[in-house]
Amino acid sequence: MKKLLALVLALVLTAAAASFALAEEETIRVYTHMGAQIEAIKDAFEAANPGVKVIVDNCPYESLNDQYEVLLSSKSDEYDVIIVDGPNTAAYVSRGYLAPLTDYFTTEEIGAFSEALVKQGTVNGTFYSAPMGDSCTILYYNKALLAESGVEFDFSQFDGVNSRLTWTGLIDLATQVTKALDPDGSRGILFPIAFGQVSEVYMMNTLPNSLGGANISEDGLKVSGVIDSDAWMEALRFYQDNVNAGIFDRGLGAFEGYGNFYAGKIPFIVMTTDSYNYALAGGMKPEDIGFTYLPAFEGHEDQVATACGNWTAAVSAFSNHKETAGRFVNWITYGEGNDLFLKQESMVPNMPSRFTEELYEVNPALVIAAAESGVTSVPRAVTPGFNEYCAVLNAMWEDIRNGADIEDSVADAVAQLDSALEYYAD
Amino acid sequence: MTLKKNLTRALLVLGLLLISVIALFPILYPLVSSFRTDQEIYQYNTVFQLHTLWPEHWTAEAYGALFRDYHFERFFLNTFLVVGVILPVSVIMCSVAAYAFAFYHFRGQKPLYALLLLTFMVPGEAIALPLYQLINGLGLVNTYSSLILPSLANGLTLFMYRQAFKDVPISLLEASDLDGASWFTCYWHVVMPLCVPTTIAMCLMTFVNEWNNYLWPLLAARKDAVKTITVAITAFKEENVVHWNLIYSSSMISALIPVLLFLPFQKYFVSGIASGSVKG
Repeated sequence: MKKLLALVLALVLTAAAASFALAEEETIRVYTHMGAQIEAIKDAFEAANPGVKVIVDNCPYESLNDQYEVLLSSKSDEYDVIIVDGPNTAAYVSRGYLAPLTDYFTTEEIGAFSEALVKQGTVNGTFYSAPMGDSCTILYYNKALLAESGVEFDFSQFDGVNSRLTWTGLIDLATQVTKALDPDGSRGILFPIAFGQVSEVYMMNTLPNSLGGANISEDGLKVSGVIDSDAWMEALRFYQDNVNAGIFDRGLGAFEGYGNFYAGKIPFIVMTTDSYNYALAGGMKPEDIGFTYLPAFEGHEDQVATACGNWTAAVSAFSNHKETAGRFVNWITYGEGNDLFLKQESMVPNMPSRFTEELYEVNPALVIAAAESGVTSVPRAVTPGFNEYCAVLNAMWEDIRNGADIEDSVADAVAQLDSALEYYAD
Repeated sequence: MTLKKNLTRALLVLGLLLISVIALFPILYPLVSSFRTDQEIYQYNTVFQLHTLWPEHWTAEAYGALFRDYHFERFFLNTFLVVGVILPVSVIMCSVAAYAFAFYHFRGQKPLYALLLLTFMVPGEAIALPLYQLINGLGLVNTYSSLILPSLANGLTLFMYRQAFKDVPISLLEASDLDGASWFTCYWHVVMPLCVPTTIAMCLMTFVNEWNNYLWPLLAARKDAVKTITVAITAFKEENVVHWNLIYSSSMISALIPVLLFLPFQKYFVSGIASGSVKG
């Protein structure tokens, strides 16, 4: 009888211990378009946080923003950590999608991030999205194509601070190279120069920015007086003239220029620094990948602007595991997880102290980012209507690329955006 | 006269050949490109030449990678499972409902029928958000049920069946009734066998619609365990890279299944659709 009682007690105790252990298990879910990259490093977080399991769900890149609108407007508690495009922070906060990160980051930790990235993740003085990295637009060229063309050019003369190529200089050079390589068009060189993220404000707005144009009004609620300014009109005319002249790419969609550059179909292209490793993965030899500072407009060398900003990690306002989700966000942006992430992605670091020799070895193009970061980098428009801003201006850039009248296109964009942004005025 | 006839015939054949090439090109190009590397796809995509249509180096690596690295068999099984449940249940549900609308008279029949017809006139995109909220509220997100339930009742299938049933002579049903047949016997043993083309057409249409469904599976089934092919394919377009050969190879396999079904049943499909389209 005593033995039976002991057995029953042992079983009860074991069951209680097991249920306690199960109760201690906590699962957080991450939603991102970088599923493979986060999946590869999440084990380190789980190891450092016993009892926590991280599940990563991947979303197609192009559908991510739409998915968030559906999930978060439905107040879904399915995801605890969401990976958000930095400029969307203000919009998501205005819709109540994000939880503040102030409980999971000390003031010193927030202060360690690059200033522009903190600004991007802060709304009304509260920090909501922590940067996973930064980005920088640079000019790539195919060294093998240049050598084959016989056109000689010394890119080492530019240091980015005191000297860099001008757009006029680049157009001359790219035209010479293309004519030498493919005089009759039979070789299939597509265009002398391409914009990797063509018709997207991230990359295209650097043109008016480099002439002194802003992205949006100070309060983020108006584009009139901004995108119809002289700087913008000059930039748009410059762009359309060169598309019409066959210098800049036409017909390729955003990101379609990347593969064509890797395959030797485009000699010069504006891409981000992390494209270096994608070029290697796309079959380019390291010795063929050339890169230099983004060109300046003549007479505006002191106003040159590069794009910046990147993906951020945030805690969903509807998460039931905010504490653990906040710890994960800290780990992947500020902590050890960010080192692992950066090495894998070779992305521009989110703080100056993370520019290391080790990182330059993984991606030598980051040298350019280090020089541009905080000097020429211009954050994208900070506005709660960022989605609307992108939708209207991306379409405007594309229309102008396809030959639409510049004045009419700008006037339409101003009317649409001023009216759409008015919604957020209150 | 013979020369003129032959010339006309040759021109006709040439014209048809040209149209065939134009029609086949969107299938031919992805098919051959699925057997080459991404680099080669870019290499020969700008100036049209022999290697634009004929790979320089044939490789089935993309097909291997689909199953080795991306476990595509899982997404195929998921899609088969979802379509495999929707197809019979939807056809039976809709045909039974159509039977009621075709052969019975009840209060509110006309407004109810009009309401059902509206369901296939409202695009899926318009109801995606409330539908997601409903499925989420029921706790069904990321389950097979979330993919199956919203597709079971289909206004178009109901409409087509009702139109086909209207063509069945009422005397057949009256005779069955006199013989003591139940409504189910009449439906299953008398009416349905007379509407085989409609059943085949509706099966094919439902199969293709569900097989190619993208928006709803994207919203409702994000986990790999329940993800369907159309959503899985989009993962090959990343932020900085587009894996064209993987997109082409997965699309080819995905397209093959509906094509294999359509080929033997296409004549039924046409007659099934036609039988439901001319009656009031």
